[in-house]
Amino acid sequence: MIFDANLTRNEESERITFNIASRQPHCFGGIITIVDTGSPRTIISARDVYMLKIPLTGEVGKPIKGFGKGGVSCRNVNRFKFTIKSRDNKIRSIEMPVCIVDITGMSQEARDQAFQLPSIIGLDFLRSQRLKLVVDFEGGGAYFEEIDVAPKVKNAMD
Amino acid sequence: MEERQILREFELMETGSKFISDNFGELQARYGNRFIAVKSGEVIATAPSFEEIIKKAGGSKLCPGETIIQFMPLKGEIILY
Repeated sequence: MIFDANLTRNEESERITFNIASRQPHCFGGIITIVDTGSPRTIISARDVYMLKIPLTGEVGKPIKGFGKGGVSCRNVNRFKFTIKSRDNKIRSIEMPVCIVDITGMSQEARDQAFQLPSIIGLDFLRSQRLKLVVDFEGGGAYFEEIDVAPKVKNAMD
Repeated sequence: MEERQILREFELMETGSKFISDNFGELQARYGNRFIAVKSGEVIATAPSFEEIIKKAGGSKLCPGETIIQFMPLKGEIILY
């Protein structure tokens, strides 16, 4: 099964986005994520937490750190429910652990900064869903594809 | 019913994200360092802060997925996530 992502290219920016739809109870709605294979974890941004009214109930996680000073507080949600759509319009339901950004107690400056950041699909998504990411700059496309899980059959001639 | 509803959500999201993707350079040039709200393939509001864009885009009536809120980085800025 193939799940299309969007490859955005212009003279100054290249990025891959992927649409997911939250199915958390009472928090239904779309999330446009950035595909970031440099991130080990999938992160739901402050913006999407606010817009989807996701309750900040999970255990407090380790702060998310990137470039620059400081870190962003987060909570771990062990079974975040969302769906993804395949190229042939099939819906796959997913439950996986994610970090959700928690801006409670942050200064206004830090909140403003946090709201600028998008949600991120990390390597954990690829691993848990057994997907590979294909990026075709020449063809102008990007997609996730299921890894063939059929057991390798030993050549009968061996 | 549920599946049809989800597919509809994806359709709305795809319209918005495709619009942003196709027009990223122009949007960046016009609205760099601002938040934008996109609905049905057009920019319906812009603001310098998240709180302000939420108010302008419909406040509590705002429907995530149907209205997309994005921050546009400045042209020439390299963003690392």
